[in-house]
Amino acid sequence: MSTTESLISRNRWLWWKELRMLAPLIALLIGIAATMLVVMPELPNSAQGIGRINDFRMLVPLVFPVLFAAGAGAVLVGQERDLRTIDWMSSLPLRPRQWVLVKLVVALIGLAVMWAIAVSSLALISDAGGLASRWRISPAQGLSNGPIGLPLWIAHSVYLTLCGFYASWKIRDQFHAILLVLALGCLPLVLAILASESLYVLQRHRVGLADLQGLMFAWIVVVTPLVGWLSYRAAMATLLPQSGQSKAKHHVDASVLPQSFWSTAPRLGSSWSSLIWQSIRSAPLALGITASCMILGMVVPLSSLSDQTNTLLEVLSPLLLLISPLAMSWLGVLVFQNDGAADRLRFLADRGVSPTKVYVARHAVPLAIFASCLIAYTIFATRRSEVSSTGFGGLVIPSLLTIAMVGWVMYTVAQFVSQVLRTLALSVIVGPIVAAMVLGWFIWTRLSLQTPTWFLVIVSLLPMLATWWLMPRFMDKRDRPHSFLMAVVVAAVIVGGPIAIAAWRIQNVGGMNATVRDDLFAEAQSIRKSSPNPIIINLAHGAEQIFRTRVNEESVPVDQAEKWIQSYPSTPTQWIPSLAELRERPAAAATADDNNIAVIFDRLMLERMKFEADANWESFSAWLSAASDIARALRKSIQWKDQDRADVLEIWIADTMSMSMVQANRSDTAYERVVRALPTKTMRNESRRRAVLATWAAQFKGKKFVGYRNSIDNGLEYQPPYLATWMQWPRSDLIVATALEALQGESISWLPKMHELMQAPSTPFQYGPYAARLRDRPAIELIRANGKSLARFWGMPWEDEIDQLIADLRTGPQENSHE
Amino acid sequence: MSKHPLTSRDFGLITIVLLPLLIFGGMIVASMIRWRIEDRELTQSIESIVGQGNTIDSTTLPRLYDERTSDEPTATWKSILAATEAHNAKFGGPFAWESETDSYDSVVPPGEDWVESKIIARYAEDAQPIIDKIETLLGSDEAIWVPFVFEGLYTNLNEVQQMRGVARLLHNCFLDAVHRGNNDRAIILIQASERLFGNDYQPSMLVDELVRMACYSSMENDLRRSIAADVWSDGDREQIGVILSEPFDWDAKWRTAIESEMFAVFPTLFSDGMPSLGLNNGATNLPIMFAPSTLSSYLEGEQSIATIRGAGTKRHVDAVGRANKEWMSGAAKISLDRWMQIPSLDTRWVISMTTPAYEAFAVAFRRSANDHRFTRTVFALREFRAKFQSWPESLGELSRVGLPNSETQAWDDGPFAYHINQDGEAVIVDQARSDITYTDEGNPPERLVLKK
Repeated sequence: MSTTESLISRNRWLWWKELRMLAPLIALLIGIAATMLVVMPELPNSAQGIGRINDFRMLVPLVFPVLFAAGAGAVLVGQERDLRTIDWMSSLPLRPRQWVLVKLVVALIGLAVMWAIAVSSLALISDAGGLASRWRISPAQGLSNGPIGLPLWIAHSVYLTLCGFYASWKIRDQFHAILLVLALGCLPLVLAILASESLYVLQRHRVGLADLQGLMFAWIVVVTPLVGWLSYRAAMATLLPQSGQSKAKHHVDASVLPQSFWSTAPRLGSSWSSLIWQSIRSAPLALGITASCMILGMVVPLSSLSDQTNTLLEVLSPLLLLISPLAMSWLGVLVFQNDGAADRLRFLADRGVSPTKVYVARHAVPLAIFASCLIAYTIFATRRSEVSSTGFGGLVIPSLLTIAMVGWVMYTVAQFVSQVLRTLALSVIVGPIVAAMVLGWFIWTRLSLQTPTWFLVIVSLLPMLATWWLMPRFMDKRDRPHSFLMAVVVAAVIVGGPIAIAAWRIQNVGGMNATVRDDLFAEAQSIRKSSPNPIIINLAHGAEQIFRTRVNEESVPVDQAEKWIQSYPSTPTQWIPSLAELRERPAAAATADDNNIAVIFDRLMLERMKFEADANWESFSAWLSAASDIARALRKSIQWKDQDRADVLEIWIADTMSMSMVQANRSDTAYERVVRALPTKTMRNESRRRAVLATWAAQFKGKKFVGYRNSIDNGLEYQPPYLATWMQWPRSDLIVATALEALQGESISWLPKMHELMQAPSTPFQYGPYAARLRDRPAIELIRANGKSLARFWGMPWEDEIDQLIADLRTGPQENSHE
Repeated sequence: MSKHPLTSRDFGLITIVLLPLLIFGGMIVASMIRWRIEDRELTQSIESIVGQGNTIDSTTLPRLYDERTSDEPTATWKSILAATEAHNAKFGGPFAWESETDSYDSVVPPGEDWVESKIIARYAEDAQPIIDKIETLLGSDEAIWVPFVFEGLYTNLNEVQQMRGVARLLHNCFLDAVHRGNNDRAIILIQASERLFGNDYQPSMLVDELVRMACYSSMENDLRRSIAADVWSDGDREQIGVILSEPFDWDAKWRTAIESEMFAVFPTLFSDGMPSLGLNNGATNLPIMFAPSTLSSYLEGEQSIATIRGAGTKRHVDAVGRANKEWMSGAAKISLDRWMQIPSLDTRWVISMTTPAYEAFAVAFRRSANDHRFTRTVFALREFRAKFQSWPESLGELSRVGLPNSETQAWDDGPFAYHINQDGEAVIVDQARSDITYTDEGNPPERLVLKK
């Protein structure tokens, strides 16, 4: 206890220094995690069909402790070695063991903080199963394909932290050290897969995912102390006086290096070639490894696209797929942050070399590598795709343009991040994440906001322009705070640009004049509020269980079928139970669903045919009256769809009433009652107007949207998915305005407008539901075609026919009936 | 850095950097040039199909459909569909919901006991007004126009499926008419099926050609069984002969159906983003951009399938299979313009979406055409018996009653299996060997025993 106290109290400054070193990494990761957690909940609205989005969301908080673990060693040790503060620290009266311990404890504290944040964000977003179910090694129960349980992640992050320390103590070059950390990080997985494969070879037993995770956990437990010990040894080898000899040797090497570096420099006649030579020579290994990773990530997943499944490749392929964008962003990072780049640039600046020239030359080598990889990829992918036997594999072979665009975004963003952050360790970790976020944002905006591709291409050039503009200051190390300001500007354009375009699109939807809208809306609200609940029109079914209980293989026994027919309602009042209520309350409105109206229409057609055959007016007039009563009640409804449903029945009534067989019964009271119940065109349009307004009002509650979709939202699915919610409001205004225009009945200019609002962009107007092609036909023929389009029967000749029927009833019979 | 003369090292270093960039740039330029060339060729391919100055867009299919059909019988057809739905719903179970095992499908000649007769009689009686309505259509042979609202691939096909309900209605009424010995009525029902699902039907998509074939096949099945049961008089057979001798242009039907499919799918591929495909599935509008060579390959493939002759035969099915493979392998060749496609280099997945359907479609044609040949053969056997008071020794003899030998060919291109049993009845099986089960569809071969 006292040792611990003394360790803390005597070296408070040391703790403070180490914590400060770690702060930027913690702050950046928390910032990114917070941004992602804020953005993520917005995504599922638009990313319909991406079933695993929830699990993906769950992974986001978990990734950050892991990234921290990978970067802590590089920041605490690598950076110290890079800036040579390690030599100064070694000269202080501080025991190396103490220092190593402080660094490790600080890293573990940071890790604990990251975990605390991760676990609390998980608790916030975790819905089904809760957080408790994640405290297990196997996959969480109840969460299908859920991420691995927390103990495994935590154990792995501790292991990774130790790997980070080991690599940083062992290897001086930070970039190489981070690569080693990543390789070591995959070690438990590789060992677990190898173990499971050996198990398969030996025992013919295939282990499940849960067992694989258990194996991985076991391997982590085994290798963690080993790496801890190795890390300690490496630290001691670097810091302890007894290793002075080797340190001296190292020191000598270091002093020799610049000399030999310049002495091996070829005599070059062009500053361009010198700069290119310099950028290759300064980090040949880093460039080589990155290029290899890129080509590996592009080519190997293609090789595994065969019919025979290889488990190891299958498991590793997704990882390899991630490697090439990662390598691409590292190429970007290396432009400004490879080994000692800052000093070299300062050297060039001091000699008055043009910043643009340096800028171009620094980019030339990574871009040439990128181009080479793309060339190799394209040749390989083209060949691969030509020899592949199946077309399905081709779906995942991206084209040259696709892969170039993805790589370009990763590269430009990462090079910008590396110029702004100035630290290699931070850039290597944060660069790919920010680049991936920007890439994800671009893809999302393209899919959900339908941002034009040309705009995204232009925006992707911005980070390049920014680093070019900052180049003179960067070379002189005077880039701050300009670089931060520039980062804010670039981020604002990247994020704000697509949003601005989307906002412009929403603005362009149009709508209504504000005063007109307010007046109309007030009227709409009052209609909605003053209307009581409608009667729901339902249908009585026969004894359906008769058919449901039978054995599938047997045909239906005759007695069952007979029972069914006997139980089947034969009169309208038996078939439509709500008819009685409708008749008791003639002033009440009714509503029905589309399916019931379709079924009623079919039945009415059948009854009409029967009447044509048996001329039994008495039984048919009961159906006619039923249709009339339902139509009248639907017409009173304040739902737009009910008005269209009333149209269906009135069209049938109009068509039926004009039949000569029906006209023969025109003196009958039933005939008269049906015609009297029909609305005139003016009355019908007034009912429609009320319903349109009330349906519109039903979209809003106070000033807020009500989440439910009503009929005005038909066609909203054809808008960009994410914008649909935003467009809903102005769009419904426009639909209401168009409907009101239609109801004035003065022109047919509303038809193309309604088509545009309601139909898929691929449906041409002349073949859509509002086209003359259909509207020139008798409406009765159109009822069974596409029932979704609102107002499709408005203003058609059947309305005049009904007016004529009403007029005839007043004035006496005419000779114009058909059939 | 002091100035030195330029050496090969300078050039070497600059070349290392410039060369990949130049090659990459060259690839982009080459791809774009190829794009332009292929685009011109695509326009020519399109014009070779739809005529000079025309293109294939979302109006092509509905325009052709409207041209090929007539709107005269529309109102009657619509009312038939509606009333049939209601009628079948009223009778429920096997009458409303299609299932092979549910239907009462045995042809029972007059005088024989039939458990289901009562209910079928009730059904047929109630259906009479609908049959009357259908009869009004018999006078005209115009292709019925259905007022579709065309929405790319998602044109309302629900109503097409409801044709099956009408076929079911005609079938049940036919069983009743045969059982009652009302042959005149039974023949009217056969004529009605022929009118609705025969040559006059104009499909707008592949699916409705399939439905049509299923409905027509149901009628032919009824005919074969009734002929086997020997319910028809000489006069009746004369009328049936007229219906059965109606020639079917299978090749024309095949071509129309495949081209309809092409006219439905192609505009969505052409419009950069598959809007109809994506939007109607509730997914986002996928940014898909096909290179002209992909589109050409799609069009040429479709055309090569559509123009295969001999529809309704095994030869045709094999040829479609071969053409599919060739289409796939042709499409595998990556023309340079495909480097600029988004997102994938290879677009055989688009073709994979349709090719299995085409092969299955060809099999359905073969099945349907064989059903027709089989029906004609069964009919000719009965004619032969009526004319010569004996069964023919072999099917080849049926040429004596005017049936060409080509009609007696069965599934595997041999003659239908035929023999006379010990009771003196003719036994015919719809395949060359009656001892094997036809495995393509897993169904046993149809075996008919023709009464003496």
